[in-house]
Amino acid sequence: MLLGATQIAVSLLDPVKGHPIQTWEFDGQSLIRIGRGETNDVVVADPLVSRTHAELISDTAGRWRVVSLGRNGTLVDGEMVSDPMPVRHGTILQLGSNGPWVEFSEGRRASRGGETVSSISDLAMPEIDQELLKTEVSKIADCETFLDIQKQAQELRKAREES
Amino acid sequence: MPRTISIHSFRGGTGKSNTSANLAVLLAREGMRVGVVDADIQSPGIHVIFSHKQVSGARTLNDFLWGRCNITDAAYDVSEKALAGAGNEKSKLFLIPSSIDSQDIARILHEGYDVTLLNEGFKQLIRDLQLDCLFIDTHPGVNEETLLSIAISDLLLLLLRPDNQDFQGTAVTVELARRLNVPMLALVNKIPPGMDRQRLKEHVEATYKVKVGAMLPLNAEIVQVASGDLFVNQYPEHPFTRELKLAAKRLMA
Repeated sequence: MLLGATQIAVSLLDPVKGHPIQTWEFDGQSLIRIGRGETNDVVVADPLVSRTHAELISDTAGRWRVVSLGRNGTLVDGEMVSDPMPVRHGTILQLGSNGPWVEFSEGRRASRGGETVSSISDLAMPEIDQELLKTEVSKIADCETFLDIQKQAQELRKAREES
Repeated sequence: MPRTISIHSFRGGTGKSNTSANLAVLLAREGMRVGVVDADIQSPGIHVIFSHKQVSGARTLNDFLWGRCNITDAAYDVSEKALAGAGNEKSKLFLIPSSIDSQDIARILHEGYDVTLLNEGFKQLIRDLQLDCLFIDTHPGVNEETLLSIAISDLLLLLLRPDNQDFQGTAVTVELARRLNVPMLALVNKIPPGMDRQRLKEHVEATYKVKVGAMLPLNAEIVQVASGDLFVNQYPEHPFTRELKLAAKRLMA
């Protein structure tokens, strides 16, 4: 066993309910590869995951970091990982902004069986009718009531700031 | 962080009350003192999510607006049940419900209410209950009282679903709020599985020129807990809870 490397687990989470559906456990390993390719330590068979998507690396003090390597990036708390980023017990990594989630945990974690990761279809984005918007806004914003609201709001806000 | 936060959706059924209530719980868990005002006086509902029973004669927001009591008399400490043991010694959650009595609702609809007084009430709540933040759950659409509630807020949270009707309506609210100089943050709710989340997020931000605070998935489980328990307590690992935590973090930043 390498100095500092500890017992950890990586769990693939159910995309709908968030519980682990598959868990990989590691003991004394200081590099864990995550990706779609069969040679990875954690194999996630999802089209949005790159062949080699991310690596978890432990330093000699047993601190873990994630390095993103995949084309679609890796996210932690909704933010793209750019430099190697520390992970701790309970950190959830998303493999690509629409991709599957995996959770990092220290120690072992029990897995529960479940479904596989869903894929992304090309649903249309909602659109706005700009002409209609203009008419609707001016119908409200140009009437006296709205101008009164604007004025009243200004006074009320000022009163609050003063108090 | 913003003190007074209005939550609005252009149409009903976006999950506004549920999202507000759960967001308020997440903030309280972080050690904040949070107040939630049900300013949807025409169709009150957020009290149900907090399992708050309105007993006859108990004070509501309506009583304050009619000059019958102080606003703090209509504030109920719901921390124990809503936090379910989470949070720390500072955590507090207060609910200011509005009346579910049909005669009271009819009177408000008929007479309207004094927004200056409401503004005064918000001020008193923040001061007397020492709130870090006050949520105002507004009535859908853009009537005068709702616009004024929005106008006196430090932040407007816009809740919308990814469909054409919500998109169009929200654009109207965004335009009006911009003229009232109120900063905004969008929460996209009920995103169907399979929709491209990243593309949708960029699309919303580009359409409204407003940042997206959370991308909340369509959530079948929330229907089962809708009336009686708080989702974030019952499903702590759920993607909906995780996304909402991001919004809470963003609000506190």
